[in-house]
Amino acid sequence: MVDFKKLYSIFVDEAMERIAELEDGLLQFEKSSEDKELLNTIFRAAHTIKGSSGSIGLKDISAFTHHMEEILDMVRQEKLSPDKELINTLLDATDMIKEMVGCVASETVFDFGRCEGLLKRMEEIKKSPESGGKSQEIKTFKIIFAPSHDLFKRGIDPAMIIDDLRGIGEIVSIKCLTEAVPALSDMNPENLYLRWDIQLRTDKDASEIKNVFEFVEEGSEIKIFPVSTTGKDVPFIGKMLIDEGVVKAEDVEDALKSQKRLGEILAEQGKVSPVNVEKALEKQRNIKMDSFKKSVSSTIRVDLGKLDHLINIVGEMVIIHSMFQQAIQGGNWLSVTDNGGNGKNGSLMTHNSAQNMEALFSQLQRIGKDIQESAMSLRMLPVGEIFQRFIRLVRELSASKNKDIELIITGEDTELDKGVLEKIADPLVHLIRNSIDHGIETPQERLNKGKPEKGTIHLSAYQMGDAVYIDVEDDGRGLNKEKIVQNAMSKGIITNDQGLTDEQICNLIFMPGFSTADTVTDVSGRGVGMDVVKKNIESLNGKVYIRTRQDTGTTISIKLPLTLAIIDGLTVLIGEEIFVIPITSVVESLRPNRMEVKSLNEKVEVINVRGEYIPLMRLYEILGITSWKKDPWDAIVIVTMHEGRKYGLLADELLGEQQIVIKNLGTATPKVRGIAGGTILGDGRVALVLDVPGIAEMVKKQVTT
Amino acid sequence: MTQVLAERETGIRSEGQEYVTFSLNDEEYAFDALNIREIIEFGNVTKVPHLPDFFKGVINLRGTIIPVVDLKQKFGMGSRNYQKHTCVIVTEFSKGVMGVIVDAVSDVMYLSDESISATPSFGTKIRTDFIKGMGKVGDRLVLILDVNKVLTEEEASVINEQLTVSEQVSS
Repeated sequence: MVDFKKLYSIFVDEAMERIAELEDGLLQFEKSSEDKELLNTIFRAAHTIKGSSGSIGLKDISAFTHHMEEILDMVRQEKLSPDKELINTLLDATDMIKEMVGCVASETVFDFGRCEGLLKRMEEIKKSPESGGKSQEIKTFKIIFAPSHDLFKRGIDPAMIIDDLRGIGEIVSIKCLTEAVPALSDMNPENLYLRWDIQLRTDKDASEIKNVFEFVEEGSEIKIFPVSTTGKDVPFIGKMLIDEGVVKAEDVEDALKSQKRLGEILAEQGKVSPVNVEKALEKQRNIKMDSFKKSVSSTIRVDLGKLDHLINIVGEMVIIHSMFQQAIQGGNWLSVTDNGGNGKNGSLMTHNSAQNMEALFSQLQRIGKDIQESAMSLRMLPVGEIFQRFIRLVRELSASKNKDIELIITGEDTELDKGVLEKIADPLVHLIRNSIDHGIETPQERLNKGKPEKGTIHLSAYQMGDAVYIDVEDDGRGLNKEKIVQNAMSKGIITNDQGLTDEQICNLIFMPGFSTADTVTDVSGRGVGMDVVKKNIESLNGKVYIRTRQDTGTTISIKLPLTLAIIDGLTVLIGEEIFVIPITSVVESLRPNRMEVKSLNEKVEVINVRGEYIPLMRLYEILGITSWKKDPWDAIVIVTMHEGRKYGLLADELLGEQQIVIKNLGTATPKVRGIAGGTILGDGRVALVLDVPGIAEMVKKQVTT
Repeated sequence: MTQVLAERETGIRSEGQEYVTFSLNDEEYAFDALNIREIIEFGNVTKVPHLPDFFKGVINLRGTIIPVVDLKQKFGMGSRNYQKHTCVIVTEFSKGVMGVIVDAVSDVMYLSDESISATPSFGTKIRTDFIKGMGKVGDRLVLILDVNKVLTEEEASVINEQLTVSEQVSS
C-alpha cells in the first residue's frame, strides 16, 4: 500500500515551490517578454506541476495545469503574444492551482466548478486570432512508443503518457504490441514488455509530441513520423478538449448553466442572505489557506552547503572525541609505568597530558560553539522567500488604485529565523498596503509636486550587529504631524501636544485606538491597525521605527532579533529565585530615593523617575514569592516599556546580563500569566523568563480596577 | 524476587505487563512501566508562581524543561519532607512529559493479569477512579495507578476542591 499522505505532502512541498517559480516568472516575464530562458523556466514549472500531480493521481490538477502549459507553449512558439490579459489569466490560474494544492495539503475537497470561468478564459486565449495561423494545420502522426523495461521501477505509468497524448490531440487508433512479452516462466512481473503503436491527430508538431515523452526518453525508443492526411473536418482544439470528458460541449455547458451552488440555492429560497453566503465562503477560503499554511510550515528546505558544514563540524567533533579518549588512556598508561621507574619523568608527562587535555578541551569548546551556530543557521531562511510575493501585491494594488508604483527589493539574501519570517509577512503586507494606499500620491499629484510620476517602494533587508532590519521606504507624501496630533487629541490619546518630539508624534500612530481610516487616511497618514503591526513585531522581540519627511517619503524600519530562540536577558534575583527579563523591553534600571516612591491608594504605587510617574509593580507580590527587600529604596527597579507606557518592576537584586535560550516549560505545565518560558542557567538550574507584556496587562487591570 | 521471576517465567503465556512500584508514606503503588521514561534523583526544582501547591515547579531534564508534581501532596497525604530516597519518576502521558515526586522507587516487576484484582470500592485513601486495579505480589498488595487519570489537570482540580472541602469539614 502506498502511503498517499506522505506522497501528497511531498507533492505539496514541491508544487508550492513550482507555483512560486511560476508566479515569480510570470511577473518578471511581463517586464521582459523577450527572455526565452525565463519562458522556458515558467513552462518547465507548469510542466512539472502537471506531471507530478498526474503521477499521484490528482487528475484534475493535472488537467487544469495542462491548459496553462498549452498557453505557455503557444507563447513559446510565438503563436501567442504575452499581453496583459494573458499574463493576468495565467496568474489567476496560478492562484487557482495554489488553492487546489492547498486543498490537497489540508485534505479538503476543492470545488472544481470554480475553475470553469478560468478554463473558458484560457480557451479564449488559445482561440485568439494569432493562434489560428498556418501552424494550426492538423496533421496525423504515427508514434511508436517502446518504453524501457524498467519504466515501472521508475514509478512511471505508461498510461499517463497516453493520457498526455490525448491531451494534445485526438488518438485515432492505438495498438498495443505484445510480441516482446516473454513466456510466463521467463517473465519478470516488474518489467514492462509492451509497446504501443499510436495514431495521433493533432495541430502540434513532432517536437511537441516529443515533449510528452520527456520523462521517459531515457532508455525508451520513441519514433514519431507524420502521416499525410486531410485534416479538414477536424474540430477545433478547444472543442476537442471538451470531448476529452466524453460528453458533448453543449451538454457540458448546459450542465454548467443548470448547476447551482449550495449557497445560491439557499439564498434563492430566502434561507440565508447572499451576503452571509459570501461571508461563509470567505471564511471557508481563509480556513483552507490557514490549514494550508500550517501543513506546509512543518518542513524546511536547507541549503546543502549549510548541512555539509554542520556535518563537517560534527566530523571534527568525532575526531576530538577519539583524541580525548587517547589522551586519557595515554595519560593513565604513562603515570602507571613511570610510577615504577623515574618518578620525576612521570609527573612531567602527566603534566604534559594535562596540558594536552586542556588544549583539547578548548578545541571541543570551539567546536561546540560552531555546532550550535551551524545548527541555528539551519533554521535561517532568506527573506527573499517572502519578499517575492510582494511584487504581486504591489502590482495589483497599485493598479486598483490607479497609481504607478514600482517595488524595488534589495537584500533578499538576508537570512532570518523561519519562525520570525513566517510572522513578519502579515505586518509587511500591512505596511506595504499602507504605503500604496496612503503614502504614495496619485500620478497627477506627484507631477504637480515635481516628483517622478512613478512612485517607488523600496523593500530592503540587511543585517546590522545582532539584528536584522527590514525597511519599507516609500517616496510618498510623508506623515502629516499636525493631523496626527489633532487626531490623537480628538481620540483622547494625548491631552496636549506640549513637549512632544517629532519622534513621539510619529509613534502616536502605533497607539491602539488610533485607527483613523476616515480622518488621517484622506490627508496623509497610516494608522489602520498600525498598533497590531507593532504588537506583532514586539511579540517577536522586535522594534519598529519611523522616519518621515513631508513630501519626501516615509521609512518604516523593523528591527528583528536574529533568532527567536536566543535573546539577551537581564537576570534578577527575587527572594531566592532567579528570573530573566528580556532586554528588548527594558529601558533602564534604577534605585529610587525614599522620597520618589509614592502610593496613590492601597493598590497602586508610583515612582518618580526624573519627573515622570511610573506605576511600580512589586514582582514578589505578583509572583507570590517571599522577598527580603520590600522597600524599593533598598532593592532595584527595572523600568520596562510596553505599548509606549513604562512600568517599574521591583526586584531584589540585579545579577547581570546574559544571552539565554528560551524554552517552553513543557507541554504538561499549565500556562502561567506573567511567565514567558524558562531557560537553563550555567549551573543547570531552570530560571523563569518574565513576560513583560503580560505583567504590564496585569498592572493595567490593577490600576483601572 | 524469586516469586517475581517465577511469575515472569510461567506468565509468558498469559497476558501481563511490567510495572514500576514505588512508595508513598510506606504504602506501595505502581505505574504501568510503559508510561515511565526514567527515574531521576530529586533536586533543583524551580518554583513556578500561581500553580497549585502540589505542582512543585520545573526541572531541567538534560536540556528540556519538564514540570514536577508531588504525588503525596496531590493525594492529600501531607508530609513534604524530601529525603535521600526521594526521587522523580519521569512519566509520559497524554499531555506530555511530567516528573512525579515519590518517596522511593522500589522495584520493576512483572504482573500477570490474573494477579491483578479489581479496584476495591472502599478503604483506599485516594479516589478510586485513579486506580486501575490491585496487584498481588506474594502477600503484599500494590495499588496500580492510572498515570493519565492521575496527572490530567481536570482531575487534579477536583482533588483540590475535595481537599479544601475536607479541610473545612475537619476544622
